[in-house]
Amino acid sequence: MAIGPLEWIQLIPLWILFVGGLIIALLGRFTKERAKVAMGALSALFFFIGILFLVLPFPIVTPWGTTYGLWYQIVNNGFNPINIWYWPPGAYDATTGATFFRIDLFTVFMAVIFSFLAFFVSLYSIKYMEHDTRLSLYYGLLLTLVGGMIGVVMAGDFFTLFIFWETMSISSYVLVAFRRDEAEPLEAGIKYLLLSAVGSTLILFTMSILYGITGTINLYEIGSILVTLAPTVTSPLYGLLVFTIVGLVIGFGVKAAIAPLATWLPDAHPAAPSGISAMLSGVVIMTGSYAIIRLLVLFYNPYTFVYYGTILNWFALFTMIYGNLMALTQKDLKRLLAYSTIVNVGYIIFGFSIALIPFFFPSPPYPAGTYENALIYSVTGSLFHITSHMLAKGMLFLISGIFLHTLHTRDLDKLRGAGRRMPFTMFCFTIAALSLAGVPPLIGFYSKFYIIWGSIVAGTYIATIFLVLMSAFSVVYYLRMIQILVFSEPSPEAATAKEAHPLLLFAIGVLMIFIIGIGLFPTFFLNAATLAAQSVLGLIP
Amino acid sequence: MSYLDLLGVPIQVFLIVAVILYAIGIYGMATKRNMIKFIIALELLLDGAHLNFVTFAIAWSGFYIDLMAQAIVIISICIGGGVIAIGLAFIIRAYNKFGTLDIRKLNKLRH
Repeated sequence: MAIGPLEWIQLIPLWILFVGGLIIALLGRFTKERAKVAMGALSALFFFIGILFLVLPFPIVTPWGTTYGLWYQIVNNGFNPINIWYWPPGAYDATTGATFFRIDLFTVFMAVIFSFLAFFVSLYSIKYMEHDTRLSLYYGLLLTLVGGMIGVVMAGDFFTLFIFWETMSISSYVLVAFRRDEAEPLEAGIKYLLLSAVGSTLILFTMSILYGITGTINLYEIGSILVTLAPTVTSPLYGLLVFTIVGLVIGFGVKAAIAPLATWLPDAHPAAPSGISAMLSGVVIMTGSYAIIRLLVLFYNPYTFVYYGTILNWFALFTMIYGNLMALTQKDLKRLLAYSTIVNVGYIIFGFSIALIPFFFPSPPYPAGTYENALIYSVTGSLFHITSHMLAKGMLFLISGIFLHTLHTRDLDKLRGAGRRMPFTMFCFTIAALSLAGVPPLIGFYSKFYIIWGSIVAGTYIATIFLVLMSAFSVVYYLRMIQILVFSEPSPEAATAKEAHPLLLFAIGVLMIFIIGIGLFPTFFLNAATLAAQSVLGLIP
Repeated sequence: MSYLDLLGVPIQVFLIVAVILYAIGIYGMATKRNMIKFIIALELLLDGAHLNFVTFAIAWSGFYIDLMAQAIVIISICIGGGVIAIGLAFIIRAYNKFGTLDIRKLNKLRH
């Protein structure tokens, strides 16, 4: 079965972004970059179409046939993932390692998150980037960035994974250094490129070793072969597989910003234009977390490789401690937010790592349902935290962009009291910061609560205590930001501030409504995250 | 696993060379200060991974070479070219701006 009309429709959320990038590039070319609003609106339109084809539960009529959103299709098909083989035609028996997309609920969940934030970033950028030139490059790369991320989460083999991983990486390098005439983005871009590219080569090297062991590049085939191999601790194969674990975690961990590898993040994220900062911090680094959990769950049985989940858990704690300590002393708003991103990556990896720790009861059978519950709670918490972090951190970076746009500074001392002149912006800022701090009626509370609940059920009590302590510790600098921006006497610069353009406020306003709305009615999103967690853990087909 | 010999050379030799290439690349990344040398080290890292992939592809081949591993290497060479082109573009701009190729002198971001 080569790739047919049905498969083209199912892949619309992916390819519409690349086609859209091309259209925007051509539009910029032919209008000599004058159609700035049109390019931003088109970009938002493409993301919107992508979201529709991911989630819509109604029939969608396309020129190639009638279809439903991918989530709906998968749920209605008994949770069976959609497999799309594209090359070589005919060679799709799994052992040959043909290239393919595999779309399950986890994939759709992540893809919706990516497109969702990108939609608002496009709208926001129409106003925010109005004084910049080369906007066709900006929007085109934004589209290929998100296209690359969706490709990564749809990938079913190393070939697809690597191509889209690099598509995403290259787009993000250029976007970080988009304002190339300034020193800071250039320097941040170079550091980001060098570290990230080394990570990519390590991923490629590890892929080659896994290919050498199993003879296929199909992720699911590799997983089933590695389970049957079941090496003993003393065999050389065991050591080689441990090396591949290290390679995958370090290679993807550079992008995911796990602590010792996260030195590029506080440079690169603040240096990018604010919309791109929101994308990078909110969703791009989550592809690293995605790849880590997906590949480790698929490849390495925690009962064969006993300690790696625990070690990853410690690294998650170390990530939190590092981010928290560094965030405390920052004077630059965007840099502080970047360190807070590192802390949140710690929470997410923590929740994922619970799924990789062999359960603390000595051997099966476990008390009824406990094992699955612990895994589902913690991974659900992580997925939910990806959502809540995307909403809140995306919004905080967009708001820091509003400060940059109106006051031309991101220094917290100069922004002192700016919130008094911008009440709506500041209300949104407070909601987002409180959500990240984990205040109960907001979405951030539920996500952290689920991670903590899962880790308690799994029996990792000491790590849980550290997680709660770090979470409490992080409240300090969220409150400090609110205190500086709202409750201080306005500085001379901030006294002239006034409410920004409605388009900028629209983007953050809608994100704020989502933070409060999902916080008040979390059931629907929790169910979705639970289904996605079960699909990554292989508990539903 | 079928370990064939390539023109009389045992396949392990190729794997060892790949690991050595990768190690040289890591060494270059860790010790050098010149950004152009970083790019050279990056190229070595990529080559080590590619050589490893191609060698394993031959080890896994029966009558035909395994196409997928070959394809991944060719695509990766193209992608690596793109990454290095962007890196060089950044470095040229940085050289014009800072007047140096030493990465430790790019320190506007240290607060």
